[in-house]
Amino acid sequence: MSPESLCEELRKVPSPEPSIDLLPRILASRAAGVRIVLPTARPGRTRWSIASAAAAVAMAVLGWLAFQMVVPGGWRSESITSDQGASDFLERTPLFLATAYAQEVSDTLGRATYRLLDRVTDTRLTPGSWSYEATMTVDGRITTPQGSRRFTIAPDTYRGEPVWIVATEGKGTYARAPFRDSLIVAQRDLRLLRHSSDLGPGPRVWELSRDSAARFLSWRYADVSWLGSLYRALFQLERLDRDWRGSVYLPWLRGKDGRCTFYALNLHVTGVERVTTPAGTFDAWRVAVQGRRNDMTVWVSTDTRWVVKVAIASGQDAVWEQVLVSATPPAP
Amino acid sequence: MSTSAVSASRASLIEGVRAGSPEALSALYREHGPVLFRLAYRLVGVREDAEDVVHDVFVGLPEALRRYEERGSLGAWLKRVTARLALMRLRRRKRRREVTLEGVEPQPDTASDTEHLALQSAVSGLPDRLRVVLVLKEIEGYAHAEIADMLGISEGASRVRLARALRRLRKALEDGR
Repeated sequence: MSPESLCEELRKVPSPEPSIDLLPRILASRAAGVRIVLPTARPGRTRWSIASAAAAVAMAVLGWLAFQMVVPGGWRSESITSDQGASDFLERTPLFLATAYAQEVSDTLGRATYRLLDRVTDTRLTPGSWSYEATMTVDGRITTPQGSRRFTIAPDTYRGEPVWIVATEGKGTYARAPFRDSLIVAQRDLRLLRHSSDLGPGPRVWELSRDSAARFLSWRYADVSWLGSLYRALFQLERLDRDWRGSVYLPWLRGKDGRCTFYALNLHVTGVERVTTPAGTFDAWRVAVQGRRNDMTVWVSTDTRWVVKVAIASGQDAVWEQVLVSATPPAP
Repeated sequence: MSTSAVSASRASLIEGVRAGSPEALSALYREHGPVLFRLAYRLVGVREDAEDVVHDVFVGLPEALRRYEERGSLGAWLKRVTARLALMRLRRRKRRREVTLEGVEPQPDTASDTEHLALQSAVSGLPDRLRVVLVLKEIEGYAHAEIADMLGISEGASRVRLARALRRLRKALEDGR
């Protein structure tokens, strides 16, 4: 085939049409306040962009210094300790307005590509206990156990108020010692009250009820420090469907200097599958969770909203999987 | 409708989008969205990624149009912005298996479709840097100078990439027979 005829054939190759939900998605993103800076400048103008960015950084530093001078002791007068959440830190800094915290971020890893998940659709958690076993399979043949996790939602009272204790306990190759991560949330409105964890350097407690701004169990107020253990509760509160998709920016307070980075996660339903685990067979939504470096797939039962399986590809030939092995009360 | 009436209607549409009107943005999407989607799809090769590119273009459009100087065609400007965004996405992206497997494309039912599918598959198999030049030059009709400008490469490099892309494409099609 000559180059000319090849190119002619190329032009005839049909391409699909955009899906009908694309326009509503665009309008929903705009309505939710999502703003995207388009690359309208030519690459040759990069130097100007760098100069502008440098100027912006200089302005930020000046703003910071001014704040240090105006506020006695600056924010370090109330030192950032591990018992304060990332958003608590942000609310004290001059460079992050409350609305900016929700919609526009600066120091990010990854970027939100869907509408931001502002709220969960339900408020009712289901009490129970769910046990999971994890394995790593290499080359489709060699499978090694990776440990277990137990996720529980139990009613209790805290300071005289009916609450849910949402907890994850685990042990395995990912944690040197058994760990427990728990979140206390008000039953009435799912307000976050307290988070405790003994995963990592030692036991830590965050008294979230002391926050001036109320935060609730939702993707929007999720924090890297607890989302990994407790996202199963968030899926119980979502009414997933074939078009469900959304993004979240997770604040991540790193290092001793309290530097905050936002970590973007993009979630979308990619289909329905029948999944069989030791706990039973479930029709489940398959949800792709895309981070900057790691992609994860979560299967959420269509009727009970339980997370029944999780898979993370590790390199090209290995996959880490966690499946539901038992549930109390059992699946209906 | 006369040329001046069309220009006036276009100007009012652009003004509406700049002002953040959802109706104006919808009208602009209906006019240009499908074309931009096809361009993005040919560049990124995955339906979901192409939709994300077009989503980002239209979400960012009201602010971006404030910098649009209304010289030349709006369609051509939108295509350039879409191509740049798609290229940025390509540079960032690692292909995600669950996303590429997800797309359910119609099965070929004629010989012609089968040939197209083979060609499409061969084009998808090209390295990004070659496929992008091929799509921009041979399908979208950009000049090498424009492609060089978009990609930040020399015109010579654009020509070389096109020649390599065509050579690889021919070989892939011959091997597939």
